[in-house]
Amino acid sequence: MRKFLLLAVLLTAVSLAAAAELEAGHSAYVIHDGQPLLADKDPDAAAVAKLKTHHEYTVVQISGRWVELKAGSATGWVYEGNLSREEPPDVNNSAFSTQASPTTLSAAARGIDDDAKGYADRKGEAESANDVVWMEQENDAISKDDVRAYLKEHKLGEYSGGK
Amino acid sequence: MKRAFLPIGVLFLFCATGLVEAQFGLPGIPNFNPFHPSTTPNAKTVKGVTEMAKGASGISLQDEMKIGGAVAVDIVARNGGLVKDETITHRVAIIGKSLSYYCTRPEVNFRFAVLNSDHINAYSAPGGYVFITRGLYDALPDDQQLAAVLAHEISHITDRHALKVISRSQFMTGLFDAGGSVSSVPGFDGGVAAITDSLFTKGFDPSAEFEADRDGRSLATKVGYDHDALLAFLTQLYKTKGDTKDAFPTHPPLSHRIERLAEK
Repeated sequence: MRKFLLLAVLLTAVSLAAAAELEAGHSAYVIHDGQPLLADKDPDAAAVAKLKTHHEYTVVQISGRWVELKAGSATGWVYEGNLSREEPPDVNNSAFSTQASPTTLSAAARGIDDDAKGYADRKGEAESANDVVWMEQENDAISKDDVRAYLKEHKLGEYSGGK
Repeated sequence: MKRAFLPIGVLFLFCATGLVEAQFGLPGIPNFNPFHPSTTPNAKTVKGVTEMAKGASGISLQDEMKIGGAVAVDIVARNGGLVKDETITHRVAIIGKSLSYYCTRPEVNFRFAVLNSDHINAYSAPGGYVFITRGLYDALPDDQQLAAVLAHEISHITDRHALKVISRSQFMTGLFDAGGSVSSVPGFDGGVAAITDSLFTKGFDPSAEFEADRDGRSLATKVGYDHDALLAFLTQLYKTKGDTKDAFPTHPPLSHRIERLAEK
């Protein structure tokens, strides 16, 4: 019974921690590998370091939607949307990762595979499978840089001025 | 001291079991009362719950892509194919990707397209496939409301709602071999059918739709889109459609969603 209660307490603590927001003194992870650590709360500010996924960084302070992080001897700013309280899973498969390893390149980057196409054949939906391939090609032609340019042009995300 | 500790422990236990069920979408253990010895789970029950939890949370991205690809094919097949207009598709995709750039599942490659259907509806499939119908696309007056609808669908994927449908059915056991290929065609097809049945017939649980409304609004707001864009769109739609099945037929009634979104 005591072990059961201990497990319950542990599960509760883990769940509550996972739900917690970013907070000064706590840890944070970047969701995009190579995320610039910026000298100021400005997406166009100089990068003082490049941050890596799966590395734990310490939150120094939060100002609006910008978070100051300590990374080794460097400190700098990252937009909150580029951070996660928990370590993101399988980030090497990130759709926008520029450093995906050959072995993880990548379930996400590929389109529908032979198993899904086999399903389409069994259902007589080969034409629809071709449509899905077209959809994937149209979408995969949009690069990370295209998305960042769109965000900047429309003043979204880190380009929103922290509104 | 022990007696004083017991109610606290009981409270933690209650919270923990609830959180586990909420997180993994487990159906729970029928008639299980943790405080009654006669209903204490035996080893077999615990093993079953463990397997279900693995099914809910342990589906690899590669397996998710296989399932999602097949579901996407079904969605396209049942909605008259895609609108193969590069301008329209690019607009939907770039707005969708501006949202997914900041979502909680950066490992997923989200893709967006418009279905050649006059109905007003939207779908998502595991692995990052998001669709809106041409009828819905035409009804959305601006980028703000388009983003709001796409954020709702992205949230179904980040919250793994479809995967929870199949994990509950436990069809995942033995579905893929060690190399990641489908080892049971009937099992694979059955799992895809379970998801498409939810998408086209039963719909997700209302709680999943409300969660997607909430999380989608949170995502859209985080990226800088209008916080109330989804509320505005659903309210406008309600004025013309009411709570009929003419719009979002597998979702909760529009009035219920509006009521939830209007709560501050």
